[in-house]
Amino acid sequence: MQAPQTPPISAAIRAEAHRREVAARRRSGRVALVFIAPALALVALFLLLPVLFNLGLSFTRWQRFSGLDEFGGLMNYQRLFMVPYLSEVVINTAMWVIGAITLPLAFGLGLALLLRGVPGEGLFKALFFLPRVLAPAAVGTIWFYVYAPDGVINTLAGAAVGQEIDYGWLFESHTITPAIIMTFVWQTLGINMVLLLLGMAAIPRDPIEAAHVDGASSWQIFRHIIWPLLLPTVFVVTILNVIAGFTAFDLIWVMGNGYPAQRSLSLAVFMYYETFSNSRWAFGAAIAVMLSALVILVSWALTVMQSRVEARIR
Amino acid sequence: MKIKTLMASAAITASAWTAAAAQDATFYYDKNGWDEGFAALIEGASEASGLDIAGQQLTPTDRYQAYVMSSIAGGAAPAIFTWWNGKQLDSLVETGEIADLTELWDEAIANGWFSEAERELFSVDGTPYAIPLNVARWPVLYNKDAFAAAGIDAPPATWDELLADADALKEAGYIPFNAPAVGGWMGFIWFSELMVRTDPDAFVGLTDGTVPYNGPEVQRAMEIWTDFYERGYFTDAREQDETRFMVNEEAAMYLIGEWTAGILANRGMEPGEKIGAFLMPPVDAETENTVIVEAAPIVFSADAMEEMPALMDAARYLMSPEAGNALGQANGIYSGNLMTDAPNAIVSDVNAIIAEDAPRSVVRWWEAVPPELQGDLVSQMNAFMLDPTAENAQRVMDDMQSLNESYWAFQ
Amino acid sequence: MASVDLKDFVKLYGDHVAIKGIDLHVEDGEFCVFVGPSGCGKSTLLRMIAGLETISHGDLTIGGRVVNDVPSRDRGIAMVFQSYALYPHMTVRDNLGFGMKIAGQDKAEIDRRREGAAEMLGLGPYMERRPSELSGGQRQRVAIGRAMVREPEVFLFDEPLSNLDAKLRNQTRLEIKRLQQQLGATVIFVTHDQIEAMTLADKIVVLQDGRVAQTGAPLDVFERPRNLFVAGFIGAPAMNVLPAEMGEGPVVRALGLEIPVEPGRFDLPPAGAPVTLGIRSEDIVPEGHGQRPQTGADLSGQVKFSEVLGNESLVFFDVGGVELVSRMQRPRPVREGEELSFRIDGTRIHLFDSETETTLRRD
Repeated sequence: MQAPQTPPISAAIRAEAHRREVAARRRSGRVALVFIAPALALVALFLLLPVLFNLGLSFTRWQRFSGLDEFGGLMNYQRLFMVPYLSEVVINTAMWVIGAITLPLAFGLGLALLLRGVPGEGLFKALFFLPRVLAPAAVGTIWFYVYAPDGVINTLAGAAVGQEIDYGWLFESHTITPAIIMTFVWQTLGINMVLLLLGMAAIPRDPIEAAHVDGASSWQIFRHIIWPLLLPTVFVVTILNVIAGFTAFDLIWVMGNGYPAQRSLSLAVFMYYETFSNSRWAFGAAIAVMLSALVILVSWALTVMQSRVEARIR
Repeated sequence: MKIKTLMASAAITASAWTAAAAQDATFYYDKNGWDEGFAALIEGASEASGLDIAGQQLTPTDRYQAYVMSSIAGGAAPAIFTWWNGKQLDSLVETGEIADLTELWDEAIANGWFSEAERELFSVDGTPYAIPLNVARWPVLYNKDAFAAAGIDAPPATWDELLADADALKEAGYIPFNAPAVGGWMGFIWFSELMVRTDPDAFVGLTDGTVPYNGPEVQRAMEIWTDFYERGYFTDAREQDETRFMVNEEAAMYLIGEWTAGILANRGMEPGEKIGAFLMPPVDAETENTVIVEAAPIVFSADAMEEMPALMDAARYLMSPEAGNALGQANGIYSGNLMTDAPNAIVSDVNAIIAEDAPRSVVRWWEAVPPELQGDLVSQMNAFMLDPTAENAQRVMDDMQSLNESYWAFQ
Repeated sequence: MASVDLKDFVKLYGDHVAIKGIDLHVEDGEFCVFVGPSGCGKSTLLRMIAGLETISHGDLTIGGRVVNDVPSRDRGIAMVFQSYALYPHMTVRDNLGFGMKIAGQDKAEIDRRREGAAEMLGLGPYMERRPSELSGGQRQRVAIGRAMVREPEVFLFDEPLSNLDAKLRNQTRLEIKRLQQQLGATVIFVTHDQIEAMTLADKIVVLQDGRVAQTGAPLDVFERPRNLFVAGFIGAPAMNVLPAEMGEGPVVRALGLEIPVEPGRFDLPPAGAPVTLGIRSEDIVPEGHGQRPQTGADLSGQVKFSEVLGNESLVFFDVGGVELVSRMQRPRPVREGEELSFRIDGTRIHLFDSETETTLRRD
């Protein structure tokens, strides 16, 4: 028996098919546009427009009162590199970014591993998550007094060594940033822990059991199975932490209030200080542009890495 | 779109939103805790002018300044608003949006309300552009009981007496001076005072770029400051409650604006009974006797003044003894009007001292220094207070000078 | 290879007793299948042997060594999971080598065993792929390969075929059997599918509610189910079961019929006593299809519906309100409502005690 012959597809049929495809796509595109239009308008009005305005402002010679908006080229950007304490700002911001990525992640992961299947797990989780729901300004105020010369930390440390300690954690250049970062960790490790627990819950049990039978120790299971499978979650958490680290403001604003060089404690605080306290709006705008560029660059790199890792384990 | 136009539309939108169109004029201010006094001033100004004037408080100061600046940049200055004198007033007047008040000041001086000295505080290049909301001198407030406990009969009249009194107070268990560094601005207080007590001309020179921050004049003031720290004359600069050591009577003296008398009174230290005031004596007998004056101006929009001539009557009222008394009664604030009653014993003490010694008035460092340098320099001074060593003093002076130099180089 | 002994196995989850005392001997090189409905405890039992669940009570002996407290990795076992449980982030090569690598085996040995397994299972072309790039059958083969390279004394399979489509399942089933014979391996295999159990096992262990219902060779279990549960579970379609009564002769009375019973085969209760009668569908022979049984009883019933399987049909019919199923060899189409005549093969009937549900057979 001969196989039935497929009828030839004519050019006319092909054209028709293409036309129908396009029409269908266009129809659904129009419907989609109707639905996203309000959101799009809001984003444009409250996000895109201010961003563009800020970008424009950063290239002007804008001065207080005069409203001069003549083109200043890269003047404000050049000025950034002339700030005498720029290195302090950069070092502190770097400490923030590194500290904000690694510490909440490490502590969050440790807690997540520790709390899995422990009696009273829910209670502990809630407890560690609690600081997250407090306003950063409130957290900062509380910790300001914890770190105060006559605060809890010095009192406890003093009792431990049997000698009065009145160290000013938030008044010394080499302890203020680590101290505020620890408060940040205290506040954010809960959300890190919860996200990592969610990530872990999504890891199938079977490969872990298989590794167990394959002879892996707990550490080897973590190192070779859980960690690689958790990596996509780790990247998401990292991106959130990077953004938080670069834009750290509230805590520093409150806790660094008594520190003379507060403006150099992070790029975000520096930006606010120059823009509003010093009324150098155009300069502040340039700092904002640099800050955004950094955040976008780092987040983008992490997103690329994240999608690579994710593709590998699917 | 031009930024200027955008600013203007933003400012107009904002003002339309904050002040209803029914008012003739709005009086903007950022002074926190003076609500009762402002209410009285606004009521009196409305009555005097026949205009419907509304009050509008905007805080914090950052936001207030940003609002006023963008309004002016957009060509729509608020009709009446409070501002700062010195360099802040200079740059405000440069915009050409602020009304000239020469006639009003001539009248006020003729009435005996103010003297030429006050007029000078509110003038730019000899022309007065503002009227006083508040004039505050910076004496040393002292705890009378502490002085009695230390066996001190009268406030010090010479530098040696000051040192002797400080030592006696220490002996009696007091820290001689309360010296907080709260809120990022208090660092300049002792710096300016020691400059003024050693070389008032150099102090003025610092604010216009003619005297360097690491020259011999500043070196001398910083040496005294460091020495005072070494002698244990100051309270812990890390304390965040600025009057704590005065109120709990650990410290005996407090170098600060006389408006602090009101704050101390609220915390149970009655001016006149518990608290007295004196002007810090000069370090060398031949140094000119000087007093640091902080003045808070009220300014008027030139356009508004032109549109509503009655606004001048409001301004006249705000300069009057009645307005000064209203503010004094409401909030214990002294307007500087010579014909008002002193709102408390501290103000009357300082009035008496000034009447007797006739010291030279200098504008407070904060207002006198270019606004762009304020924050950068004062944070250096704060840094010194937290680490008051000779080594740090040198670093602070050099850093201040490099900031100062680069600012003036750009002008 | 090694034998496996379970002695008085018990598993407790809090107050719940999941395994209620099991004794079992698996011969060296034997293919042993645990079968039973879901919840019977067969997977739990396997996981206890694997070391993934603690043994609450009793002893596990593998190759003469008691391994109750020995961790999985030292029990000499390898396990193939229902979901294959491949490491998703590793290539086939790394999946196969993982266990040996972390055990610190030298590279040459790893390669030798890996190549051996890959060749045996035809995994050569896929060595650099990740599990996501493989079909279900290929993944299954990798999972088996991963078990093989461990060169275990005992292979444990936990429902390894249930995620495969029907055709692949049959194919893989054959492959597993072939591999087992080639390696001479001891295998313990868990399934809920009695056909898989029958086709693969040297020894079937039928589990019911945490206990062993019956142990034996596949045909043995099929021919001589020890109780009603096994009778109903082994064999498809399920055995026809109906209440009956003993009569003189001896005969069994049911559906108004009298079926003669070979007296020597059963411990028969006295006449008039109730019994439970079991008849497999192939032992109810439709008239004209296949050989007519010599002894037995004739009946007729009305067809309710039929399942056509090609080489045979299952005919579900009604006799006086009781539904029975018959297997029709060389089938012809039947209509619903059609009257058909059948003959029950009296030599192949099963009789159970109505009370205890255990068989009345002597052998």
